[in-house]
Amino acid sequence: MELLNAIIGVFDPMVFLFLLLGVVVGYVVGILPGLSATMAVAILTPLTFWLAPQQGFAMLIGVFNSALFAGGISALLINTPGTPASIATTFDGYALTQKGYPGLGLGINTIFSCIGGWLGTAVLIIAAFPLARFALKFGPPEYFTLAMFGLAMMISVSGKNIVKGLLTGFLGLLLATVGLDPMYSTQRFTFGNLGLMEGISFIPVMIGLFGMGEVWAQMFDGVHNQKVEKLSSMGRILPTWEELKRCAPGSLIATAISVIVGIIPGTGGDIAGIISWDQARKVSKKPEEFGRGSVEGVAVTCLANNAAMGGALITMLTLGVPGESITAILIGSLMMYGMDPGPRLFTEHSQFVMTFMALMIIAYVLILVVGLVSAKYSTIVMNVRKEIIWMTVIVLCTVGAYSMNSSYVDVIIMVLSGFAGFFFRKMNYPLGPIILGLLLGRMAEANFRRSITMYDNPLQSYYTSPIAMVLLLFILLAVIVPLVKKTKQKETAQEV
Amino acid sequence: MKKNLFKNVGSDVLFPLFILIVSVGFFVMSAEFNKPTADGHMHEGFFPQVLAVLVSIFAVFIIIYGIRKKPVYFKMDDEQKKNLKLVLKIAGMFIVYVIAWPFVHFIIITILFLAGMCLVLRMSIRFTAIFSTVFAAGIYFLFTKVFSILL
Repeated sequence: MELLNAIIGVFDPMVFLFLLLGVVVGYVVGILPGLSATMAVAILTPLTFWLAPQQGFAMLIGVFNSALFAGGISALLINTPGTPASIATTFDGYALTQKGYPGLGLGINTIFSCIGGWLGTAVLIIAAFPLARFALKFGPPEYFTLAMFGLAMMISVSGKNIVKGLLTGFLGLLLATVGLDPMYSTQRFTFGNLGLMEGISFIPVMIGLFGMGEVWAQMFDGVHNQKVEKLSSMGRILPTWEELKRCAPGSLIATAISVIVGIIPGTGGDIAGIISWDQARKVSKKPEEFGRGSVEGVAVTCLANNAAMGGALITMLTLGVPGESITAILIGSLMMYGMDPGPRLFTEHSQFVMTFMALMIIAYVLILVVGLVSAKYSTIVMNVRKEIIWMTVIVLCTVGAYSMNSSYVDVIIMVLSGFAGFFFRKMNYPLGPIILGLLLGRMAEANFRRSITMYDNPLQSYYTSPIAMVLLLFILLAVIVPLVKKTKQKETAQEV
Repeated sequence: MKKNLFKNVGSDVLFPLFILIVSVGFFVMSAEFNKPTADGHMHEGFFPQVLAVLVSIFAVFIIIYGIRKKPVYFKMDDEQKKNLKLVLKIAGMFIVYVIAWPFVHFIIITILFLAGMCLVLRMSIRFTAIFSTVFAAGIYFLFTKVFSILL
């Protein structure tokens, strides 16, 4: 009933308008290779600060869901994923286009992205409230270990070099100590600057790292504008009933896999897509078609990267632990509106949680309409020159960083983060952990300090808490398993 | 000499060395909080000190790796040198833009910055004039009139 009321609330003209605007912006961002949903949400977050939370989140939800779906369009038409989550769509998508069915590919991308989004949201609706109720039992030691677990998971899957992930993660935590101390409100590392009293704001940092840093890196790599020819014939857009039936078993498996993958912090749509594609091939009646333009292959990968978001949102909303960069930024967006993600969000702002879920459902309805109507015109958007995007992003990043607090200090933080983002990118330092460290830093420190003051023995609160012990075990596994895997890979390579 | 130094030392030494210096700075500054609190519990400098030590350890790890393996992240062929020049030009213009912002009206400084970028990026004069003017004015009116933010 509450959800139904929330769905009706989404049809408030302003909320609906911002949702539609978000879907359109996300569509453009997703299609253009080099622009990511993460970058778009990072830049748009401060711009939505001036709107009511429902309107602001309508826009952000529209952007990230639509960008996830639209990332598949360039994967299908030019073999380049528009967003990293669409990487698996290239396995069959481009081959399907070359076979003469670009329209069918775009239609399947739209339909199955929406099905994935709805199924992921359904799991979110079912699982989030019980999990949040369970998480209400968490105290300081559990919260501290949970924050560390989120960070450990993000580091463990953050690329080839775990040491670099650890460095950026702890650097983020260190930067979070700037400002007033969370226990005694003592000024730390502010150098008397009032602008730093509340700490380093994560919004200019994330705009700099994900927006400006990306622009500098793209400029350094050079202009490689891909001219996409207007397709002479799109062919049919809607799949036949037979094709839909053939996609059903793989889609069910992909949904289950993707939601679970999404729940695990540090993983995301890209991994969900690859695993789902592989599993769908195993259950398919025509596995030989996979990799050669299989309709099933396109369907499951499009479904997977959207369904994974539902899983990622479960851990983000209920525990405050982001699954990947985009959910880390969404945590920042929620905090900007004065709402801390975690179990208390479900008790103190339950109406907003319902609106969030309703927006997810309606966003995919709009994506379905926009996706099917605009399929024929997607090549036009793809031909926008990169230089125009760079100029637009640079000015928006600067104004966006300033607009949040009308603070020139924030602009300087954004500029410095942008240059840092360039070096981090070029030298294979993962960006996710630094944002996560910055976001979780104060919560981690406050809970760590509270937890060791609870008993005379500072560690007693940890070994007497089963949840904290389980989380500590997971943290150890998250760090050790990738190291062991890497050592084994090295040994195998040496043997060969 | 400078070029050789950069080549021999490598970016996996210089960058973590910078982070190492920053974390040592944090550690030293944290020392001033090392006064026992009234309730005898952990002082405000403990957490940053632990983090500064951890960051330093990982930075040293990467420096050692950088010295041993000398990985190359910035392969400077002719195209990359050209791109680097472009990045430096635009970054320079961007820094001037940010510094001049508090002193010059937003629309004027943004038009100048965008026009400069367009010229560096070899866009046509017509496009430069239209894009820089329309975009700067559009952003100004969006923020000042719609969001009520003084730029």
